Amino acid sequence: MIDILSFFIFFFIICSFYIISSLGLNIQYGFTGMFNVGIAGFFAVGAYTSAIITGPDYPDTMFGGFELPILLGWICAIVVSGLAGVLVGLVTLRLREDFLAISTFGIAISIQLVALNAESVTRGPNGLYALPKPFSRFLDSAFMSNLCYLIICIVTIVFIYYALERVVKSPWGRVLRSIREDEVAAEALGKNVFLFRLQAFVLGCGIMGLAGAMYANFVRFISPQDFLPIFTIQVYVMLIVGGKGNNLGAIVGAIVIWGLWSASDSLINFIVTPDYQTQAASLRIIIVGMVLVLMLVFRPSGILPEKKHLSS
Amino acid sequence: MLYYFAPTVTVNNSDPSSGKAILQVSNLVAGYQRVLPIVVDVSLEVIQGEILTLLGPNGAGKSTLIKGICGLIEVISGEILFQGENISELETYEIIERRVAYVPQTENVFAKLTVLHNLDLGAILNTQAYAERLEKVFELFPDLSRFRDTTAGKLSGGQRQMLALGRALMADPVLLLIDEPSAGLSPVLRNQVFQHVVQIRDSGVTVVMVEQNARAALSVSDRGAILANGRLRLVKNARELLEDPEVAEIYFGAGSMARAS
Amino acid sequence: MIQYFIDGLVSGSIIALGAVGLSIAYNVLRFANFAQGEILAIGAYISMAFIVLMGAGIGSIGPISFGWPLLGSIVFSIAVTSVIVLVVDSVLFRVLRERAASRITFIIAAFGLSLIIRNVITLVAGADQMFLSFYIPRAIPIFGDIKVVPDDIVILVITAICVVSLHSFLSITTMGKKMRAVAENPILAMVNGINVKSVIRWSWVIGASLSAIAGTLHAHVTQLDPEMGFELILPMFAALIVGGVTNVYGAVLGGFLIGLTEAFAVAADLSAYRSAISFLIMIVVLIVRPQGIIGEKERDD
Repeated sequence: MIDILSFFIFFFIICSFYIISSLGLNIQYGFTGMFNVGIAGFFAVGAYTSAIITGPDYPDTMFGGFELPILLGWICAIVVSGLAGVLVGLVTLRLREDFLAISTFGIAISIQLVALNAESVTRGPNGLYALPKPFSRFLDSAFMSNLCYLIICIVTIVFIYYALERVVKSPWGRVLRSIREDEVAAEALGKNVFLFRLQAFVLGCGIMGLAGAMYANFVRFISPQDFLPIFTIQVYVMLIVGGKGNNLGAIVGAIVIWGLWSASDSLINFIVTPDYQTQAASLRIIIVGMVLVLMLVFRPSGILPEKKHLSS
Repeated sequence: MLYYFAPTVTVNNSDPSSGKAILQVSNLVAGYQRVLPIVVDVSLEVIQGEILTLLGPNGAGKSTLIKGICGLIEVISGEILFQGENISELETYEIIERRVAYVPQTENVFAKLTVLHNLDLGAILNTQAYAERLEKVFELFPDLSRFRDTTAGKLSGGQRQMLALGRALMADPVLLLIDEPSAGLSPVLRNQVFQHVVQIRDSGVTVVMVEQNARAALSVSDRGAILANGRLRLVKNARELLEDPEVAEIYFGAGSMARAS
Repeated sequence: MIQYFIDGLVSGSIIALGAVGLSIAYNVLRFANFAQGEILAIGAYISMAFIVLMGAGIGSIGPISFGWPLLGSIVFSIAVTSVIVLVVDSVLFRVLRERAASRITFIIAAFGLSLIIRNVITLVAGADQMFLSFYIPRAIPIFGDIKVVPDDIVILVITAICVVSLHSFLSITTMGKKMRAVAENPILAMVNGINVKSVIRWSWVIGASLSAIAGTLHAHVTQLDPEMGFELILPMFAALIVGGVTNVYGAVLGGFLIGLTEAFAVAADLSAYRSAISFLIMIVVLIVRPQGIIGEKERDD
């Protein structure tokens, strides 16, 4: 019984990181129409920031290992990811959507390359290990500590969800949507389109950074291999399937797709012999890819389409 | 589907010397989406060798009608017969292959290509007698000859209009559909364009043009057809339309006739 | 040093041929095809399949480490890759076109597609690297101290032939002229009597053919790897943008520039960062001169 519960707790914790990332993407893509293909990069920035701030002092790094409180680590992660968002945004947000996609894509790859090569900070491919987990000093069993983490995750998600719902209904949110629908008209109304887009972009990046930090302090070991472009695509599939422009859709999509992903993982492990595991893993990715493509073709608005807000 | 119900005036082909109909539109319903038709139940005949001008207030469906004829807009129901053949289900390029030419109102030249290149493309379907046709186009529009190596985007508004017409003529069309040829042009250039249209007709091409500048257009046309709210209201001899003050009042809207010249 | 230069030209040719496919997709089909890299991968793997089926290896002609069997495999690969690409267009992109989907939708679809293709390759051919042959080409002295690998020269010649053929096609043939018209203004092209659907099919086939050639050559020079498409897409986009998006020859120029840049990065011992360097150059170009070296300013449509 405990085993099954453990499994679900673990499932939902990992799912939470995706949910939070989806919510962050929703601000950028769902509400403002900015096609950020660098999600994995910002997630990585948050993860590494928290790892460096909260992690122990490793013998082979020159910088980091401050062993500061986890909450501080997470706040720094949000700030640093946000700053990364500012930098990237200043450079790329004036570009048209396809160039924005290419740029953010390249940036995520560059971030991963830095993580892989800046060994004095990130320990390169060896990664950062022994990262602290919240309340681990007080809780003995893995089950209790995971349960506790799940509660932290749920609280965070609820907080972000309600905050974003308010933001979206606010005048600021309305401007974002008007920019998405018709940028020229928004400009004509005197709105500084670039500034609004930058704000939305940075907000999304900060949220993604938080997800990364929460990931780092849960799995307690991160390496550049954790932040591959497949993550970006997974989040996109989740948002598109769930319904872009709808915060609840982002949550639902994340749960559905993560469920599909995990279920197919278990199923494949069950059916397929170890020889074929890699290839079976490919099958899983193919299925998710097909879900994305089919969704785009048959139901682009997602499971929960965007709510029509009274003002728009 | 909701249609706007209003008594439709019967079509009155009052030209006694009506020749053969080259184009027959029957009960055409067309629009960008099935649920939102713009052209509603239009029936019209275009006589071979005439200049027919389509008139009416903004949004009346004039441009949509000719786009529907050349396949750029979906035909929801109804029939379009060109030289006896039903073209309502054909793709645009198939219709153009049958020697129908269309000159859009905007973006009617390849801006980054030279004048000669544009004309070249006009003949792409039929390269026979290319040199002859090019000569004829240059005769009609001497400016195009002079500027043959200039990029189309660098031409003036009037010259671009000439190029647009020239490009269409390179395909040696039987029927020419023009969408607001005088749009954005000064009165002098406008009259020049209409004179060109007459010359084109005189060389054997049937012309249907959409126009806002009703008076000027009607003065060179054989017949005029008035659309309003997607429906055809009146088809009459051009001169009779010009001289009918009531028609002007009802169909051209307040003062538009006065502004037309 | 010369060897680095030639390496740069060789990898540059591969990137150039791939970038041309990207450029055609961008200008005629009007979207940034993130799956173009996978088309190179498909081309390479189909060639491999042919070589394995024929069982004759890749042959050799004199000092060149490949021969007619490889060239035959390229021809076969062009045919099969073209068919695959046409099927995918008909099933996916055509549907999106008919629905007048947004540019972003096309790009997301391309992403999804690239994911699927990459993993189908892994599924079918396994995740390990494969080699077309195990022959290690030897450099031959041509004059003085300068040694050159004959393979490289042949690859450059093949690329030159491709580029010249492309040029002839676009400027002389009717379909080439139609393609340019559609790239300029698809609706006006339609109004001109051009069958745009046919032009679209040709565009896919030409892009796929060049990509099949590029992919096979890349596999010969390096190796076959399911991730090869993903590794090439960023340099290809960089080439497209640096050279000039609106111009197919820009893609060629950009390809060589990026190839050389990456070669010099390797020479300067920055090999790990070479994609990042290409990318950096691309970003700089996007900000400072978005139309690239020989492109023209685009209208926003």
